[in-house]
Amino acid sequence: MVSVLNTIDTAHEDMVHDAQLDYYGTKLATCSSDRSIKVFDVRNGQQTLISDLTGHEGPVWQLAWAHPMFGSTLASCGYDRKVIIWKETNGTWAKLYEYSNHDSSVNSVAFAPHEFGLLLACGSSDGTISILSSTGDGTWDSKKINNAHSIGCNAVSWAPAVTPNALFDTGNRPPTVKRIVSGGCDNLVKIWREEDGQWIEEQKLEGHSDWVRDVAWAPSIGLPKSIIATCSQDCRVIIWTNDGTSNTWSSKVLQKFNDVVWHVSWSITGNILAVSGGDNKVSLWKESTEGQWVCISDVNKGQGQISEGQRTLQ
Amino acid sequence: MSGGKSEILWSPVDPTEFITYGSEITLYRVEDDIAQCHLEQHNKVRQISDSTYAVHVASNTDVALIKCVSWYPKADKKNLLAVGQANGHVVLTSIGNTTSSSEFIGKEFAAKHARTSCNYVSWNPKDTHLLAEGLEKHRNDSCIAIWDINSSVMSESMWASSSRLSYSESATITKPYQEIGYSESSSSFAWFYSSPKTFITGMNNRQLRIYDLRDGSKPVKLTSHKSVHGVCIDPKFEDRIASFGDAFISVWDLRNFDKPIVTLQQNKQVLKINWCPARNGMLSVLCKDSPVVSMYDIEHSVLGSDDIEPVIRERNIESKMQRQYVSSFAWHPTKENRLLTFVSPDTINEITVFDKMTMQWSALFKLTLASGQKVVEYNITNEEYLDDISFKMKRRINKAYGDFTENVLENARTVSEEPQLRGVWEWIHSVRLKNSPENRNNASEFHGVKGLLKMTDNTDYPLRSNCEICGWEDSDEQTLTVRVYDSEERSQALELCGWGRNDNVKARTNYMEFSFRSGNCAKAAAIALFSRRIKKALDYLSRSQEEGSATLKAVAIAIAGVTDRSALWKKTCNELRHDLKHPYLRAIFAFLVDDNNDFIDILNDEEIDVKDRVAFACTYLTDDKVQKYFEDLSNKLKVTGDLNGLLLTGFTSEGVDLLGKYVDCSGDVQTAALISIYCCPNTLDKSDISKVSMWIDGYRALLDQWKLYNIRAKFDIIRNKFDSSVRPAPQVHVRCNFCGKSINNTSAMQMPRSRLPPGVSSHAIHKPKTCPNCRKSLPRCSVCLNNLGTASGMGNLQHRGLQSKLTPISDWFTWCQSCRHGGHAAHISTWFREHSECPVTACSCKCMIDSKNS
Repeated sequence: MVSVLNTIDTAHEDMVHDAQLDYYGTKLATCSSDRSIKVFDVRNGQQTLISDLTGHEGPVWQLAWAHPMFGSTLASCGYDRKVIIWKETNGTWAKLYEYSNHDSSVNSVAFAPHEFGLLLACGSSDGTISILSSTGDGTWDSKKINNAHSIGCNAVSWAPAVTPNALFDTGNRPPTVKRIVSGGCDNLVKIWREEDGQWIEEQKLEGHSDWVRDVAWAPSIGLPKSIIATCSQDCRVIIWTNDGTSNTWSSKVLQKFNDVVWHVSWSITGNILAVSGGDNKVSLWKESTEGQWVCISDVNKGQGQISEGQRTLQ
Repeated sequence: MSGGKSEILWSPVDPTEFITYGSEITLYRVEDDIAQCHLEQHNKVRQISDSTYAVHVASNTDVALIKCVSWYPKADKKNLLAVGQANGHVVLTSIGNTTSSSEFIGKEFAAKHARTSCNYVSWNPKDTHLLAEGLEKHRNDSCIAIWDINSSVMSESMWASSSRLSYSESATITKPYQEIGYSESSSSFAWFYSSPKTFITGMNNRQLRIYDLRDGSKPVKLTSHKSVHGVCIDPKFEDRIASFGDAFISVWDLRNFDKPIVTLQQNKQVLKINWCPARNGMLSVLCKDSPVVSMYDIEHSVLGSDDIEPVIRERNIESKMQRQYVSSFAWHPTKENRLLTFVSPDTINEITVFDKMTMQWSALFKLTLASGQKVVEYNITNEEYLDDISFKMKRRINKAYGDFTENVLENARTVSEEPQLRGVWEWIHSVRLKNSPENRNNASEFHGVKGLLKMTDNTDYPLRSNCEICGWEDSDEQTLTVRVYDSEERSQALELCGWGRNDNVKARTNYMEFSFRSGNCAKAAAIALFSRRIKKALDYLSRSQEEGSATLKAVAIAIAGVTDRSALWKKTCNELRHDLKHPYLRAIFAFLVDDNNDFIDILNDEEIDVKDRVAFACTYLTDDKVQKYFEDLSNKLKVTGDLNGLLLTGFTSEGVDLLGKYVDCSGDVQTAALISIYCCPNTLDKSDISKVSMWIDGYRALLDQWKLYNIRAKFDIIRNKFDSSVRPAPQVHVRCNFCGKSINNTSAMQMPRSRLPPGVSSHAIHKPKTCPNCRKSLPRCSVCLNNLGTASGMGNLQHRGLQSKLTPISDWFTWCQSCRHGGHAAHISTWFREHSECPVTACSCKCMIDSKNS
């Protein structure tokens, strides 16, 4: 069964836009239109508010946790064009770095796989993607992909780092390539690759007929092939696959939904895709051995006890 | 609808009722339960959404010339409606249950004589006896009339006499409570919720004005603008006003009323706008001839400075069921995000507009959704998901899958319900059996059948198998013969398949017995037959106890007739064998009736185990044919990622490809990683090694993320066992007090990934009592006063003899973190069993207590 494990009243004063669990699933961060970010401890079905982070001057759209090897580090982005990186030291959360070099709302943040170091990609309504990297001595470098998506970039996601084991051949191991996938208001999905410190457009995937709302690069544990899921205002979810040897991506439409599809998310082993749509349903999808994507369950938000009655107008 | 436009309104007090009005007023009740609806007459029920139905409750045809309707906002006079008519009259009427408001029904209000059309009626939300009416311009008359519904014709007549005004004969009340805007026109109107004496109105097609009833002579505030229609106040934020003109919408902030803060251009004429009652700053807009209601996020548009794009989010709400033009819509006053759209009296749709939901998988297979102000965590425990590979991996971990390095077959037992995996472990087991321990890690250990038959190297070394014509071993019949091929390589391959060498009758019998005991007597019989032991085969078939043993016995009878081998017998067998369900029974007949020794039906029967087919091919196919067959079969298995193919390919480059395909198909990085460490892939080339290490690292990272650190450590230990070159560099060193260098054997440090001869450990070379760098002696044990590095004298000598290369932990250093005194671990722990103070004389450090507390 898909059962409700826990319902957390975030006590945000306005709509919650994102909720992210950390690497181990023990800390939950939420952000809201009320401009604040809250961090909860969610061990054993209990939740305790650890911190309330204020610093954004507008709605906070999205959050991202860094890998635990960088400590408790959280990135947030918002309508105020800012990206803020927060860090917990000795139980106290504080702003570590603030980046305000975007000209419009920043819609998406994503930390790179930890193998690349502390590296953050941010997609903004100004059409650019910036990549912030920690130099390790407290300063941050930034690189920008200009005109990534005309009208705006809605989502970014990193390709998993596929590192050959250093123990086998330390000598000439091929450098791991950093890749980002992004989706935007130009209905396009684009794949970017870092080459000599510059980010270049590697692929332009055309398939959606309206704004691309979310992109998710599947975590590929041991898989040579790459899989990307994208969803769009055009009510479709597309699964893009690349066999890892050529440069071509094939696409398969998961399904045409009845409403906007807001988000796509891969399970940790990259085998189950969760899709949330405007029809208030979350459905789970799995690729059958025949290569067909089948819906294995619907999770209706209604079961989540966020019934209308609880949030009525006074 | 008779030319007039139709509107739709939710009841302000009853969340299940709404009315539509055009030429008449109709009341509906919303039902969720279809069963409830069946009780009603069917023609009164219409579906308005996937799960809700509107039941027609009542109609009101008493009032003609309906222009606009306002629903009494409080519960005390339920279902009382004020209807503005095209002749400028306002009539109170009701619909449905009317008992509480009967005294007001039929009351009519009209200032003076018949007038221009009524533009709006609006109940005051607090002073609910007040009702506003808006009119077109008519000579010098006022355009806004505020009526008091408690005024009666009687009082009216008193008013009339005192003010010398005549009044009509009817029950029409003609004296408004207040009149505003002489010789002007008013097109839209809204009361302020928090200060109900004030209202905003659009006047004369060019002004928005705010009035206070306490001084109605002049507006409190005004601004000149063409958007004077549909003025509405954001219920969540009263300073925010929206109104529309012809094809544009203006949003105002009363604190800066000079110009609109946002202007939304539309392509078509705007019909209706409204604030979404449950959402901050969400404005919904309906245009003419449009099937959608658009939503604009105003709240987030006005933040920051002007150069930010004016409207940041837009969403179109469209009914799933219909694509007709919507003529009106109404937000549910309390139920969040619930919207009714009116297309025609027969087509009303209830739409729920859902918030954007974010969701995320957590590492431990929980799905977290955020919606509204809540976050919900779901636990996924459905059976369907248990089928998912990550659940499977965890289940296998619980069964200690992959932990059995000595008895490899145990690993197969942990995954006994997964035949492919079982097969792999059986294969690894037979490879182990075949190769004596000294041969372990031999480069060719895991070369597979293809490797054995020299198919992988490109040398033109041909197989030279002996061909013998054999009869049945346990039959006197001499006419039955079959060509059997044998060679050293083939025998080895048979061993890998579990059949045992051709000359090893015992192994073969064991294999058959094993099959028989595990309930597969058809298989046992088939293998007996393939070993040309017909009596044994018949024996198995007749001894069978399993279900369908009658069939088996019938088969036995048929086989017994083989000696006859008449054309008729053959023909019948040939025809009937395809009807047999059991693959091994089919194989038996296919074997018996085959004349041209190609055995295609057996070799291509995918229901027969790969290893049996391989073994069969090794026995009965010519050198050329067997090579071709193995090539084809392994290619086929490679395409599907069938792990049974590893038997053929071995853990070679080809095998890694196959395993890769298997991981692609199944996501089972666990098995891939385990096979990789068991098969110790040192002989692979670089690209393959990178793949293999990807699985190993991926699996380790996964275990880490699942917080299964112990399992991961165990995995690392097993990995070390098979491939000592991957031992990670030590992370903690014991440092010499004098020179500061690690006292751990420098020899090992100089030779990372030590290439010491096997069995000789660097530890065994010298167990230092002195620092290997500066030759100064190591500190003494505070209990036995010997230099550290010497045996504590307490370890089990026998045990140490076995593992002499390792220093037992009891001989190892330990020390107090506070006073830095210490000694042999065994001595120190014995000491502190009885003491809490440091063993060093005059040191009063409570080592034990301190370390417990810290």
